[in-house]
Amino acid sequence: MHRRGFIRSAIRGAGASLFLSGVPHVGFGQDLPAGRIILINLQGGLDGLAAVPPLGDDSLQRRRRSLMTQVVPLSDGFFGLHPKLEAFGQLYARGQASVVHATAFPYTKRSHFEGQNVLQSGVTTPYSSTTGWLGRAMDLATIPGRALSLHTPLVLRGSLDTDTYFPADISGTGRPSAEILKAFAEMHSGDVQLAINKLSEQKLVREYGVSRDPISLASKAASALAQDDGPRVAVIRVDDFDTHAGQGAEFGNLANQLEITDRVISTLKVSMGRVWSNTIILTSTEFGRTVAQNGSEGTDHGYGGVSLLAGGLLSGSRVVADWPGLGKDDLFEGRDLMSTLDYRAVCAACLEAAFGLEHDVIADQVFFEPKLPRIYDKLFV
Amino acid sequence: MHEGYLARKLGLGTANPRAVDISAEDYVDEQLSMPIIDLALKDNIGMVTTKIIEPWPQKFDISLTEIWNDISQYRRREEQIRSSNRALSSSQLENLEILQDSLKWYHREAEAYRFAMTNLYSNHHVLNRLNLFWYNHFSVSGVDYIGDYLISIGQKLDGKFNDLLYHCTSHVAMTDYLDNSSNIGLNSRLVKQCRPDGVEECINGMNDNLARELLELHTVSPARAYDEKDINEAAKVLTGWGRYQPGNSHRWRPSKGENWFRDAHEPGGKTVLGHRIPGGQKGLRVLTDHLARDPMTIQHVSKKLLRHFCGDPIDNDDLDAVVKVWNDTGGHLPAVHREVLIRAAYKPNQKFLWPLIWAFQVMRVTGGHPFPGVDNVFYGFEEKLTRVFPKGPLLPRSLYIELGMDIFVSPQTPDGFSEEKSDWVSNEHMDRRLKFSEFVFKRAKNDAAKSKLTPDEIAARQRFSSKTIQVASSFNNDETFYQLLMCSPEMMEV
Repeated sequence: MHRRGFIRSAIRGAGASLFLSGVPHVGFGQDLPAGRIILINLQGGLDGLAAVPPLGDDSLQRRRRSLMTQVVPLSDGFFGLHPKLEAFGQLYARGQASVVHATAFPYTKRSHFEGQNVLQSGVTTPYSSTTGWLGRAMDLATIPGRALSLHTPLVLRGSLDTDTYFPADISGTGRPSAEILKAFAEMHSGDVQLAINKLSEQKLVREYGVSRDPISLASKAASALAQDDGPRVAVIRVDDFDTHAGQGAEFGNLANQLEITDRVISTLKVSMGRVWSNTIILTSTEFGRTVAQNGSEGTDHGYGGVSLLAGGLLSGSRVVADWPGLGKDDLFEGRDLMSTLDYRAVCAACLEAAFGLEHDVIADQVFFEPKLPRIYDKLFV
Repeated sequence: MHEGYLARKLGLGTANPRAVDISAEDYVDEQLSMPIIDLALKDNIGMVTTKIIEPWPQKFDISLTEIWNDISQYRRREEQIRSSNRALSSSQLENLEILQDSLKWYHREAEAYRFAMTNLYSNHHVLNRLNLFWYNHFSVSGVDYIGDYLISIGQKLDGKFNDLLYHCTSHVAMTDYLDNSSNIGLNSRLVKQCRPDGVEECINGMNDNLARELLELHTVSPARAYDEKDINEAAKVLTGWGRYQPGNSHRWRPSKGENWFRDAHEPGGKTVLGHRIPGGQKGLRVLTDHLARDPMTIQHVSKKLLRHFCGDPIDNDDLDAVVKVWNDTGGHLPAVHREVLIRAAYKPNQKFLWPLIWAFQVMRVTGGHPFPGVDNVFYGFEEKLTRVFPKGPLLPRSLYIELGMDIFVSPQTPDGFSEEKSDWVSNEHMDRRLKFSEFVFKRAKNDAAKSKLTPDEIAARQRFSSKTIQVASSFNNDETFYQLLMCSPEMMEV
């Protein structure tokens, strides 16, 4: 795609939103965990086989005649990296990025909505939890939160308060006074009253003029995360990975979204300064996509996929994968990359690294899965 | 019951509720018996209002064919430039992008404006709210033809659910949105034509996006326990539906005036959820009729309707009653709607309103709105493919975006906007409610044929509680009084 075209799509883009969490409230203790977690939620179902194709598995080429592109080999050359993940590749070369492949949340029904719900709640039955795995982990680490969004995403919901912030753009309107907010709250009760009270507490620190594209939001996130008393968690959503049609190869819809994701990661790296050494970024998506391309030069909903990790908390670069193969008999239901690793184990390792929580506690109280494997050593040791 | 309450509970509110109470049954019958008519406010460019409400101007009524022609014209220009120069210069590319922007911008702003005006001036606003509900159920976003899609859903509300389902599934907005325009049968004529030349120029194969959402979201829901084979077979039934683009192969031509392209259809019968579906264009109608009759569809959609108007939790008696009406009438929507609405009216449950419904209620109970008149918004509209953007103090789509509910171009996925209260209660959402109320107070002009009401008048006409009036009026200035009334429990959670 033409450069200008890319920038335009990044800016108009696709829906993007940023959720910053773990902002210490005034008077909160100073003993917050030092680590930062940034979750980039790639909504729509990232095609992991295009982002990080297995060069050593020649089944892929046969099933994807128009979706293949030249890639940059990783480590031993079995896997390669899509050329639009350039900054991520540089981090990989410097030992600050890793890839986890053939992984998925334990959900196989290929629905975006159920899949996103499982991804955010961290439990295996869709719509069965009103809190999210990051929110529950923040509760355990006693971190209160703020989401930079109109809405509070499920993944950040816990039992502790989470407030929200998102730049408004209704001209000619001002900040409501404390007296108006007090009266507003007095008329209401329950969660509405709670939300109004949070607005009142937040009033003094509001900022205006923040752009809403994913890269600007990443910059905003990084500068906040870099503060000692800043947030500990950010969630950035990048949309449009549902590449049923016109997925493209080196250029095209998927390449555009990967480039945006790459620039989000590089913006975070550049803007976080010394805090980068205490940071872990991880991508998540609701499912991978079919191994074979479909009739509209795209791919359909699948199962196993890939996750990109970056940050100074990693102990080096590697590809973590128990590769299942892409032969017909190797696939999930004969069509999708099999998942050989419950992605919640990756999330648990990141929580352990950033918040210092014990794996057993995370497995038991965050994911309600006492037997969740511990893969901390594969990424952080 | 008080009409002010009924209008807010079931519709989009009214500035002039009757002084005498009316039964919920009579009110619902009255509302459901009116036809939907598009309305517009005639206004002058200089904001000197002429205040004439008139039917939607025909010159701004953009038909599917006109939109298709505009898009085709854009594509032809693009093709001309490409074929003459091979490589596009940056200025040519920019020019094309501007043309495309202009095309889409006008269509979307026009649609957003039309939607706003109809909701603001309609006397049958309960139907307008139902229109929004069904549009959200059969959600589309960011594609052309949305205006026609939205309006045509409203026109189907006096019929049966199976007709509405077939209409939405086969509409070009839906087939575009969920990629069915490129869902091509593996044994279709199109694929067979491509084979002799090799596959280089041919795009062929299945795309199950629409089939998946048809089952999961629009009809039976995952509770029906269908499998991938059902989805695949439904996708085969759907092959051929969509306006096919010329694409890479010059042999491809869209069917003139139809959203159906026989050459892309997978021939032969299919089986979905145990039902035998014939091949050809009529197969989709057979499939949607089966799906519309499925008990799981009736359960799923009845629950959604009850959740929208009554809130949670859903009462089993209510659900049973709505399902019974559905079964007794074969899914006759006026009867189903009547049952849901009357039950909602008597329900003590309060439903936290979507921000957009709340915003229209704010404007309607006030008797004023901040939007420019139709001539101002559509200034330059007839100069299609030029970059003359409408001007105005606040265009309706900006409002939808600020409230987190851009129903035309939204990051929202095909499951539409959430009915969960927790998704709409946050401090930022509360901030937007205050800001929008302030904006309307400062910028709203008198509504046509009505006067903008004072806060005292609004409070009296809507019969707000003494607590709300006491708190809101304590500031002794009309702006704050108004803001707090609009953000009161009576307005936000009805």
